[in-house]
Amino acid sequence: MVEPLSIVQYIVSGILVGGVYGLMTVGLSIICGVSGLVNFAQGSFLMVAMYLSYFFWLLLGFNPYFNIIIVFGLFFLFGLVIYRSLYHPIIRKPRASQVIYTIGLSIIIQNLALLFWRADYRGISGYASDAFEISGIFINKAQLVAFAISIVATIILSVFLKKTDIGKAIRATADDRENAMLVGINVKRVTLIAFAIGTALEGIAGALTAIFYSIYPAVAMDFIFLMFVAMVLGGLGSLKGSMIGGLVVGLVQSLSVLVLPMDIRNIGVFILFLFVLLFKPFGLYGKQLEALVGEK
Amino acid sequence: MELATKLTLKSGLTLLTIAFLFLLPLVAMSPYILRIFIYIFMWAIMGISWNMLGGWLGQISLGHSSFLGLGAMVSTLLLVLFDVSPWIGMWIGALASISGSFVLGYITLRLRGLYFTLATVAYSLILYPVFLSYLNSLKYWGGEVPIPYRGDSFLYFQWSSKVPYYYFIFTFLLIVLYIGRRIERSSLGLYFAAIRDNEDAAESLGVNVLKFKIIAVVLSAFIAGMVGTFYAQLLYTVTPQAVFSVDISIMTLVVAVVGGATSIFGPIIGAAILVPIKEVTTAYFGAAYPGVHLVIYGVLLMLIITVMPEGIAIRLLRLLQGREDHAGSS
Repeated sequence: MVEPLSIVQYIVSGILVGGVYGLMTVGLSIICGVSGLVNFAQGSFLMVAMYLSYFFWLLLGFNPYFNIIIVFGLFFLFGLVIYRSLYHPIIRKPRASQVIYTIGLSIIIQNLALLFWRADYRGISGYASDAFEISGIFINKAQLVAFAISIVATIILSVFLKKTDIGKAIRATADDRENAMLVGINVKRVTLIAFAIGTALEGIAGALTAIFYSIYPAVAMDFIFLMFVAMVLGGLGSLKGSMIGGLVVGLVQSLSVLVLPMDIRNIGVFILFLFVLLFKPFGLYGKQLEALVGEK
Repeated sequence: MELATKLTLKSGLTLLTIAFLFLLPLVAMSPYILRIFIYIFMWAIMGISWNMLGGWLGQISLGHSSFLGLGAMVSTLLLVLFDVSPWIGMWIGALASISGSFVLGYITLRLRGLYFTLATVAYSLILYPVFLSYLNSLKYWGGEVPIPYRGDSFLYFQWSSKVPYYYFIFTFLLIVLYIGRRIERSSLGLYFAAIRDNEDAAESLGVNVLKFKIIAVVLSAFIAGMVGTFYAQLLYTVTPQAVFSVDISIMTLVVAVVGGATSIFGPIIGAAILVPIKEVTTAYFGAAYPGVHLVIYGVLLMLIITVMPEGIAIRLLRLLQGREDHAGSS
């Protein structure tokens, strides 16, 4: 029989990790919302961010929390470059082509990582096991910090989208691309910036995850599916929805450990996903996902 | 050229190719080359199976390993636990694959686009741990089920030579091609095309979209399930990690898309290009650099989608035939 205290323990750590999943999903969702692009390679971006932070720590001795800022900056630039060079040609293509194209990109990135960095499990040591106790519940410091940063980053982003001109332009474009164009918004530039922001958020999420999670090339696959599940649960384009989707995924994943072995805990998430598709084909949180569902 | 001459030329060439491939193993051929041909045929069949969803209906599957895996696991378990011959096991495995596809189909076929793709992946990712824990409970630790070797045995689908495997999979490919071609040219094929081009329009005209989707997914699953049994017998061992892997799903998709997703012959071209790439890079770079071929696959996938989204086969066909009779092929 499972003790009630350990259930609370699993809930707490599920929520903490779920916050980071939420941030990953926000990054995926803002790109998808603005450009309609379904970016399968986003998991690979995350994986690269994890390795970057790891190598900054290993080779240059940087504090992994400091790395978050560097990786954020680098990934914003990376987002601009990769959008211009690789994503621009397919932005107006049919969705099926986009899916296959980005699957191709993610295969390339993952296997290059496998070639250069090998399949070994790596990790940033010295931070992952720090924990403190509140009335019998252990709280992992790295996960708590990661959770807090994820929430703060999401709040900053939503303020940015509401208050700044470029933020408003991004929202307008996500809402209705053609109308945005009609009122004089430079939709191409807005899409580029939104893509860079989404990539940069993946950078933060990757640097955060690197602190408490093993780093290996296939981590890209592990996370991309969790992100998509969270995005579908939360509803496309909604930041709040993506965050909630991430929290639900984290919670379900963590609670699955109560009944399933650790290494197959994701099965709970996928079963949840199939059930959601069965009963609420458009996600738990809201509007019909025309953009996602349609063939364009 | 006269239409009649053209037709006879075409069917003549086809017959010649078939005859050539049937005689090929008789000419002294190394097991290595034979193995490459076996894999080309096998992946071509998988690609055709993928096309029945991806090409006919525009539903992108990234979970074809679940169909292959169910066939492989079920027939192998029947063999090692109940001594059922793979010749029977492959039908039961294919049936298991079909029932699996019903579950998947019921959940996913009302979905379109990305949802379908994600659901197919999720499905294969669920099946893997389910079979792993079941096999562990049978004391097949790590899920590895070796197929006991009994020497050359037709009954147990085992040969020391690769030639019988070659003939089996080649014949299977011909049958699948024949069936696929027949369907494409029947009214069924027209319904599929209508659904692919505009599902809502087809639905509003009274086409029972779900029914046709189920037909396609069942056929696709049946074929991939059969391949699963063959794959297990060829490798003499089955692990859920291998047969339900995303790698198999990716290979299937790449073969179909690179070759041409809307043509039943596309995957043959795709497999004929991709399998040798894999074999050569593996031989050249060895096990020390895994994944070189996958990098090349990724590049090919991105190139094909941007430069010739119709795939290599259709492009070739167009180049060879000029423009006049291309209208019928897509």
